[in-house]
Amino acid sequence: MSLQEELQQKIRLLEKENKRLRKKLERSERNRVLLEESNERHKAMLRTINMELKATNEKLKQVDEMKTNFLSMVSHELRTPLTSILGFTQIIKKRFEQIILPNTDLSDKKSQKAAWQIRQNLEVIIKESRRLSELINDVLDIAKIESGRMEWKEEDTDIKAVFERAIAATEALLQEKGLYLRREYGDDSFIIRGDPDRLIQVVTNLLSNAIKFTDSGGIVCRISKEGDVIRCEVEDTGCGIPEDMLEKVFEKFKQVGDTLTERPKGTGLGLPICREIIKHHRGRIWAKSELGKGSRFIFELPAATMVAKKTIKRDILHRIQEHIRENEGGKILIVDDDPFIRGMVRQFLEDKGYTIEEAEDAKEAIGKTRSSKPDLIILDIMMPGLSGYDVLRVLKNDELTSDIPVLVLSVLENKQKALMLGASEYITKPFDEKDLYERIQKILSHHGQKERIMIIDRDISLMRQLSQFMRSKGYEVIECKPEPEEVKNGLKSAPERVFVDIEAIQILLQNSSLVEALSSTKMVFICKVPEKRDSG
Amino acid sequence: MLYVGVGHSDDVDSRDAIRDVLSQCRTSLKDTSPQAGLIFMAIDYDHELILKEINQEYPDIELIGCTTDGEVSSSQEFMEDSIVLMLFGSDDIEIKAGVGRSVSKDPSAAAREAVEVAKRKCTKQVRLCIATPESLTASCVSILEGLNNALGSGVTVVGGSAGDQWRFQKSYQFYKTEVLNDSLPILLFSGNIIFSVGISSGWRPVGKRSVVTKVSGNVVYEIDNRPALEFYHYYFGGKMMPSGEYPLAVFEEDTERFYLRAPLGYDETEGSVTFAGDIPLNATVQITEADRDSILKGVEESIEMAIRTYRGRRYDAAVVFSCAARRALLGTRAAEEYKFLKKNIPGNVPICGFYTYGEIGPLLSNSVSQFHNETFVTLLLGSG
Repeated sequence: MSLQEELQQKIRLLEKENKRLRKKLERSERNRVLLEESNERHKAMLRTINMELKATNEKLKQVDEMKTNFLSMVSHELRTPLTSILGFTQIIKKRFEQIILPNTDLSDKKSQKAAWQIRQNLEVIIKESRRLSELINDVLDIAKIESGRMEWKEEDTDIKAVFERAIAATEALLQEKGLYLRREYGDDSFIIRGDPDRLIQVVTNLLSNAIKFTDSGGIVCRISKEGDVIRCEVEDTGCGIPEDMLEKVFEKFKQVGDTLTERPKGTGLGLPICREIIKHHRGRIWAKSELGKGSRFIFELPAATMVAKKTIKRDILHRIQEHIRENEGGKILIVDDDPFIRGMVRQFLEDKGYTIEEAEDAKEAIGKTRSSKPDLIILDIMMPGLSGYDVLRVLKNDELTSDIPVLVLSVLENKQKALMLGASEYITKPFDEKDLYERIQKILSHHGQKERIMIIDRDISLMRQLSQFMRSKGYEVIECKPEPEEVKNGLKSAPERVFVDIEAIQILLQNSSLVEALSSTKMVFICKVPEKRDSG
Repeated sequence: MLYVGVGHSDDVDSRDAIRDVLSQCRTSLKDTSPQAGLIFMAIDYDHELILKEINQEYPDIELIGCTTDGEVSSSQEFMEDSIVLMLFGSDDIEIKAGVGRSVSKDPSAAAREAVEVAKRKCTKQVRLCIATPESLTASCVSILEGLNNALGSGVTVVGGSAGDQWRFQKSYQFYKTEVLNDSLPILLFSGNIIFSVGISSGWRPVGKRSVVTKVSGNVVYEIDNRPALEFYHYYFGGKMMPSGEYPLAVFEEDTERFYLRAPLGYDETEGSVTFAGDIPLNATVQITEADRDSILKGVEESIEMAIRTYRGRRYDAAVVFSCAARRALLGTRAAEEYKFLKKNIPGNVPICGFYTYGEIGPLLSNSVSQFHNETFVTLLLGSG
């Protein structure tokens, strides 16, 4: 190949390469323009979509508001007639039991059967009306949570107290079924940030489910802390849940069992509400079960990490108030020869948080009063054998029982005689439930005035708030700084309960004579959660 | 056994380019002589000369193909302004070409014609059809409908329609030594062929849903009783015109399943938009969008589906058809589609493919093939 040929070939190759590069340049310029245009379109489109979303969002908000308004209107409309149905059915039942039944000749088999059926039917109406009203409440609750309209409290909450409150609320059901209840948690507090009322709702729901589905055995409540997580469990020895239902029970209106053949036992919203509440507290809830052996509902919540001093104060005050309220419900002995009346009063008062004992005649009444020292006795006058007056005479003449207030509940209009014999109140049958409750409260709070309490705390302002509250409740309050001499002086006036700051007790425990004096009193500890820095 | 050779070049000189391509094919085919081939070329080459060169090397080869919007191969990966050729040889698989003409006049007749021409040469049961139809003169939906009818059930149609580098003016199809337009070249595979197909896009519907209220084939005149162009103007903020990267999601009746229809052009005076496929009257439509990651995710899904449904022991070749709009949106990341492809197909499998104006394939294996936009179609080939 000559030099010229070689040169020409080189030139040809260079020209080709030049052409190729030009083409590539052209192409990449075209692609760039294409991409730029595309980006422009994309940006414009995003703007439009954004606008659309905003409009949709606005519309959804309106729809949501309409839904909420509609729901609260409907529930109000439903509640009004329901209140009448429930109220009048209760009145019918009461009249039936108090007036019709005593005057019916029950020796006739037909009448006996009819009476029994009427009572059963009335029970069903009452039970179903209550269920319906629960359902309305649950629907409202879930609608509120889902729409973000639920107002949540945010305070330091002791899960143990939450369990105790829930246990108290379900105790009657538990006793009715004869189940045991075991607490597997120590004396430590398990503090989380959250809404105590809603958490009580969760535990109450789990407990009443456990009771509902358990016929023998009992229930175990567990609380434990693993790292930053507080784990709670409610375990029962009931019928269990099939594996494929373990997740579904947390879905709305899903209940275990065949809803066609079995009567639903709840609203089908309890567990979904529980899940929403736990979710709100940044926790999780799930179930484990073995068919025929029992179920276990477990929820985990993050332990509180940061607590502001101010909220401690508010929370302590709140918790002490709760403690006192809890102790307001006392033990009441109902003395009546009519089992219906006893049952009715029991039901009514148990709903109000009182513990009830029953006696069917004078002899049993005197025996039970001596053995279990009730806070109040509700006494019938006309009983076979010894009358209510006789009971009153015996009790008021006995030093051990003379200070127990007695409320006479009788068909007889002889108020003067009863009061002269030492009765505190006199109510004639048929009575008004509200009236009965108010008088019981009056007697018990009057009675409670005698209680003297002592508060020991370094935090003077907290102590002031607390004692103010207690005084308003009719207690006599002794305030004490955590100094041995002051405490010793205070103890001389023999307070029945001592509220002591957990930090203060540590100082006092160094004094051995104080330890002895304090250990003989009923102590309630005020626990302040130590302040920690937020790790986040 | 399926023997496969691939060549790929972006030499600007047509003769040099095809000679380079043929020499690559010879090397990978060794001594076997191919019976058929697929050729995908950029719009600016001397197509007649190139086809003549191939025919000189392999007389009477059953060759089809088309112009494109970019090419890919296992030889040179992703390139623009290039030629890619894949040649097939086999003892137990028959591969025959056919062509139908004047698709714009009568798509069904053209499809019948193409199938008849190819089928006459087949002695075995036809299993697969690769098609590279015209995209700009006729509705590919009608062409495919004709093809499905002419082939009967039991034959899967896969392919892509011809492109012209996003100019939307004129595209070409190739049949043996002929450079055509308004035509439908096909390649029928019969005998011991094993294959699988995967399809995925990466586009998702956004914004409000609307209803097509006036349409004729693939020309939409009104959406929600307003000019179709307004629908696009609304999203693009008034000035910009519809573009291939913003297809409509067309929902199948009362379901959340949709197929995509990309706009090819528009008419400002009548406010209509022409799409790369027919849209039924009263269809619910929604504008769609994609980002680069979701487009690339589509490649993975497409390959994954093809691999999952493949029944053979080994892959002898992979042919891919990717939408030109994907390339346009991917911009400088267009080359990544091939990289995803290479990464996800195991072994040293010969690959060829091109950027199309519309893709063809079944949404589920064994279902009837449909016409798509914005998708990535993977075809895996082998012998039993």
